[in-house]
Amino acid sequence: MLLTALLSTVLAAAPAPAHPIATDAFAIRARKAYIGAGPAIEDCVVLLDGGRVREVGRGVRVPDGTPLVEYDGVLTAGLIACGSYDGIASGTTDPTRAYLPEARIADAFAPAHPDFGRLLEAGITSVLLVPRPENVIGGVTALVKTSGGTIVKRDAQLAVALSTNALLFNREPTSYSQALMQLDEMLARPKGTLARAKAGELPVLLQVGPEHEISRAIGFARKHGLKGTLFGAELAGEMAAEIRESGLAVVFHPLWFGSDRRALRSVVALSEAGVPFAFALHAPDRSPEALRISAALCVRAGLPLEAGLQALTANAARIAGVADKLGRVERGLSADLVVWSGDPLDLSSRPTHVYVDGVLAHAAPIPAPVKD
Amino acid sequence: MEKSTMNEALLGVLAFGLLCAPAGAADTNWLIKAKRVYTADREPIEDGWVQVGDGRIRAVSAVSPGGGFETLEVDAVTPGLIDLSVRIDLGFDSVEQSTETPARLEVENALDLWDPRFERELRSGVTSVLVSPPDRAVIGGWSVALKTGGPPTLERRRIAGRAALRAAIGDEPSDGNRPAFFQPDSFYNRRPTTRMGVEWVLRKAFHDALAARSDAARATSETQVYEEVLSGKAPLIVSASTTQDIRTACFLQREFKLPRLILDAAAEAWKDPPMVVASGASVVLPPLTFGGRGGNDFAFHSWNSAALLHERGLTIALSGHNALERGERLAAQPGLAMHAGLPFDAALAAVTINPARMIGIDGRVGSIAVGKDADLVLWDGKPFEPSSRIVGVLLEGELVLDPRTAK
Repeated sequence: MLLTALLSTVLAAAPAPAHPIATDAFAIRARKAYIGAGPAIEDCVVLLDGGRVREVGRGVRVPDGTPLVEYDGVLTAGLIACGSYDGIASGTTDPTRAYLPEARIADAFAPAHPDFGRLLEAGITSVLLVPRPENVIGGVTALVKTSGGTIVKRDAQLAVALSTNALLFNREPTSYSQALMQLDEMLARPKGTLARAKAGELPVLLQVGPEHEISRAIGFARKHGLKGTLFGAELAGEMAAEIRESGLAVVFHPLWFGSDRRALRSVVALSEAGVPFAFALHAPDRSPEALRISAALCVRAGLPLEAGLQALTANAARIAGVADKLGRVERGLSADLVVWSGDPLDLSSRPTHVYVDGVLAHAAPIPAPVKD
Repeated sequence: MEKSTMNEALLGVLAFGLLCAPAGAADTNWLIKAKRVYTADREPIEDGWVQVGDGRIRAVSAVSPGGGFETLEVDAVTPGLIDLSVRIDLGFDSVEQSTETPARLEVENALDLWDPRFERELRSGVTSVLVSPPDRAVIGGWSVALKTGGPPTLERRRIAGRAALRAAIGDEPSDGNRPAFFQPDSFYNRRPTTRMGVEWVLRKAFHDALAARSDAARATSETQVYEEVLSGKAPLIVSASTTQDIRTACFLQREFKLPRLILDAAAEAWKDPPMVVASGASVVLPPLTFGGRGGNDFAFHSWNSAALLHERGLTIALSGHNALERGERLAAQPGLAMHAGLPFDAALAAVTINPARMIGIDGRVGSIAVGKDADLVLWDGKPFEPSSRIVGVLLEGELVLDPRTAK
């Protein structure tokens, strides 16, 4: 730790090198890297070209003339917040209509909103924007980058809230049974996004809460052959066998230091059952740090470190339907990379350099210690 | 611990023959020896035996049927209790209020099977319940008959999905409605706002269903639901507490000849028994309380109402409304009714076979008979006596409350 601090100090004290521009090939060397599945790679080199990763691994040869940037830090793929409300100042829900299957959040956010800068500083390079679960069908989610607000996937999922939050007292439906009946009727003659969901082209994001809502959502997905993810299913781990059978993935609400042990154990149990999962963030209501802390708390409760990291990267990308573009440090994927001052799930670590599409989008080298 | 290991070993031997035996199936095999076996639909058996295998009742006899199963010895055994008026729902999320007649809806889609109140009912002897939509709509939809325990899925707990159609008369279904002055600002700007309006909605529903019989063009998905009640395929369970509401229900029965009417929460049914007798309705009484007035609309519930209605030949069921008070739980109700004159046999029937027959689930539950589900309550004395306790509960053969550790 002391050594790291000293080395970082040296790095920080050195004059900042002219950074290579993204479209050129260049290389990054990090002390350690988590590139996707599997354990960390020591002394890892990543070759980048045209905003993508060209090669990655220990001992990858850097061609002559290719600039090399060296970091005494830990490299990971950019984190993905699997559910957040950033960049949408207001009007995230429509209380007058319960069903908005053609509403697209991609059309309703501000790409340059300052929310995104805060995510970037926390090492979050992509965010799944979701409608709040206050309509039975809230609309279509989108995956966007936090640097520049580029839309990676415009139609990520169809958000369906089989949740008490979507049952208002003064709007039809007021009951679970009516919501289910109306959804059944819509899916009997599906149009637009519902037709695509039924055909398996558009996954669903089933926004749920307690066990009975999870169970109802699983039954609903099974009945109509829908694929996708349970969102907010805090106690999913207690129903792991049923969820695994359903083929649905899970996104957990962000956890925090006061989180119930039962919720932490639920994440560990779901992981042990082999169900892919990720974490939502719910920024700007929650601190961007809540994403990383969620995984860290689960690791403290018994989740393997790699599973915790994958929930923030590879599995989040898979759930958002962008595993072919993001989530791992792998040949052909976008060069969304984060260099951390230490292990990414250590509380004392922080992102020092964040690359999005090979461009250094955020840099915050550790300042030199203040001298007396 | 040792027993379960032994049973697992036994299960291993049997596994070749029992391909589909669920895990722990051996735990549902028991021999119950009781000083009295109260069957509920036949004479009690002195020093009797009940053999339970694979979740069902395999034998009921005065001599040991053997079988090599572990024996539980108790003072008395009764069928699991049945409550047709529990309110273990999700409040307003369990009833649709955008219309007064969401008749097609099934409340089973709007319940929480993890609700700890189910387990509380189970451990206090109630093994089957009818759950209805809350009375915020005139015809709230289909009630569901459920077991109170077992894996929390509808597939495993459901006894009958469309066990009864729920309706409500009185103050509650019209309570949130209001007339619209100027521009309407909500779907609650509608009728009914009065008891007359509630009655009108009910009459219109059955009137439309009758009209649809002769004119197919008038048939709707809702009239099809009412037709099931008109034809007697399903019972109509109407919440009606006060005399005026019970009268409304009885008039409705007379007008539309409803073959299977159940009056729920019928606290004041005792005020005009001949009217109820003439309607052919059966009656679910609300919990007997010490205060006298209780239930909906502060109806006056008399302590001897159960005895009085029983003497008139009415089929009655007692209910506990999943009350928190120990004295109001279903298992305490027969004792209170007996205190006011109801004979023991009638009190037992009122919490077992009567409610089972009312909603047509007596093929599976409601009495101790060979082939029925092994839902049993074990007592350490004469059932329903204040000095007796429930020491054991079996649900489909599974020991939920163990008499060997309850003592």
